[in-house]
Amino acid sequence: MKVGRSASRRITGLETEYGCLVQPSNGGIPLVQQIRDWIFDQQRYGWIDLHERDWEEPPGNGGFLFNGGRVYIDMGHIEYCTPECARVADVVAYDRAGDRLLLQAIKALGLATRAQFFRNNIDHRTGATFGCHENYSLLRKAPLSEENVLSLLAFLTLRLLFTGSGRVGLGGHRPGPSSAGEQREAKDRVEFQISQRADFIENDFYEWVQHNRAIINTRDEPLADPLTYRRLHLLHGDTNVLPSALYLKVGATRLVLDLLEMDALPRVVLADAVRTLRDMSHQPSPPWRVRLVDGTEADAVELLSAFRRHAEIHLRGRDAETDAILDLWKRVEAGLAEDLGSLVGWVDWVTKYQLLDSFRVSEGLTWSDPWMEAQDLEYHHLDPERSLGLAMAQWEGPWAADLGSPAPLSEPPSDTRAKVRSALMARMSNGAASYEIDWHFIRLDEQQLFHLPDPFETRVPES
Amino acid sequence: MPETIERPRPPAPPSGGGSDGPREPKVEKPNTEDLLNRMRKVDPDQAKRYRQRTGE
Repeated sequence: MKVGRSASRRITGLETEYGCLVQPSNGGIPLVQQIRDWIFDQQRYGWIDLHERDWEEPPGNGGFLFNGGRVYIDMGHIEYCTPECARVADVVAYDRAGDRLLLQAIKALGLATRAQFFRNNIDHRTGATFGCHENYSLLRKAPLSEENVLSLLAFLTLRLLFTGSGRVGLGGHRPGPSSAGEQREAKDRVEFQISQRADFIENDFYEWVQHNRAIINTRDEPLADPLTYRRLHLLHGDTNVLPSALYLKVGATRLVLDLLEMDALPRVVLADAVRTLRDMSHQPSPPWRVRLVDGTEADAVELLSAFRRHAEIHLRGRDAETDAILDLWKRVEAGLAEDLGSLVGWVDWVTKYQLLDSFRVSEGLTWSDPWMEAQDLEYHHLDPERSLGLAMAQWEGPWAADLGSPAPLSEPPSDTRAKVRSALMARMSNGAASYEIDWHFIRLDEQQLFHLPDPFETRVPES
Repeated sequence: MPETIERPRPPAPPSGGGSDGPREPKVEKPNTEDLLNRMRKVDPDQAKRYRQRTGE
């Protein structure tokens, strides 16, 4: 029985930290600062912050964009946040707009020979990691029973099979008890794994993002009306290169959150989600057997299928985007179960594995050769002329519809409060002496304060 | 709406999968000679020269 057919009303936004490779400079302004300054110079794409922000972010560190998103420097990285998006296709288009902004800046500043940027999550040499955080609005009244939360945790763990971007080697903190000998043995065995981030995830639930990283971040910071919304903040996912993979990651997660709000999730409880995440990542071939809390084992693809089938029952036919997500999900599920080769160009880790293994064999290399790590990096290159991943991408589908449009660079989505933010920022161009911009409010000239508690509000207030 | 009919899957292997270590995925090799030629031009030391802080 269907318990709901209305279109999904959910906000999604991504925060992407770009990896960068910079040739040594002889002093001067650090390169990432040059890029940030170019973006905000003379309000080219947005307004630079004048005030200190939360989490001790100083004035001038970043700013909001006319597309409703944000650029800033975080721990030495350029970080780009999409605006609030109500459609999955918009998430993909606005996420890609961040890449295009950086590429424009690099070209305009003549930095192409000095700097390269990557959509990835790891530094192979230092063991550092950086993220692609996902944000989903969730109704405050969503039934967060223990059963539902554990089912959500299971989905967020198992989805790694289609969200992983793949990586050469092993790294980061390894959760769970293991001796030095076991670690050496694992390092010898793990030549290629499914996920960039799995080795860095140590908890199932935790509130911080820089240590003890968790599958579900528990910080309650809705950036909207707290009586109506929560914000689910995820940091365990990889940065995707393939648009279809990003579309499925965000789309499937949104459908599962729809099921959660409808109290219609399948009951799936893993015995140890963190260990399952790591073990699955370290095994880039089926079958993926996972242990459940009742002591039995199950096939991970079949468990994922239970979530999809529940979405088929309750959500199929509600709108075109939902159906497109379900179609893609079903296709990928069949590939995971029967024919990994059919997922080349659709799922990042499978695509990367195929390409890198072909290169490895043709050159007579081992997986531990530094050249393989270099190819891993090249897969994620921001420049479409260099990116090995984009060269293999599937471009037929709703995930690619708006990728070439100039609009996402400077215009907001029309169906979220990003539209209001952008309009008020445009109004500032008429001579605001001071301003303060945040996700949920804007203050102009210390006298006009505009609250934006409803992320779906699109009416621009009068002055 | 009835549930979508699933394609049959091969029977699951004995439990405890993964204990014998990862195996090579069965993926056909791509016909991507141009891409392989591009890959041969990638600086082998690129990853060594890649430096990041932890971020986030």
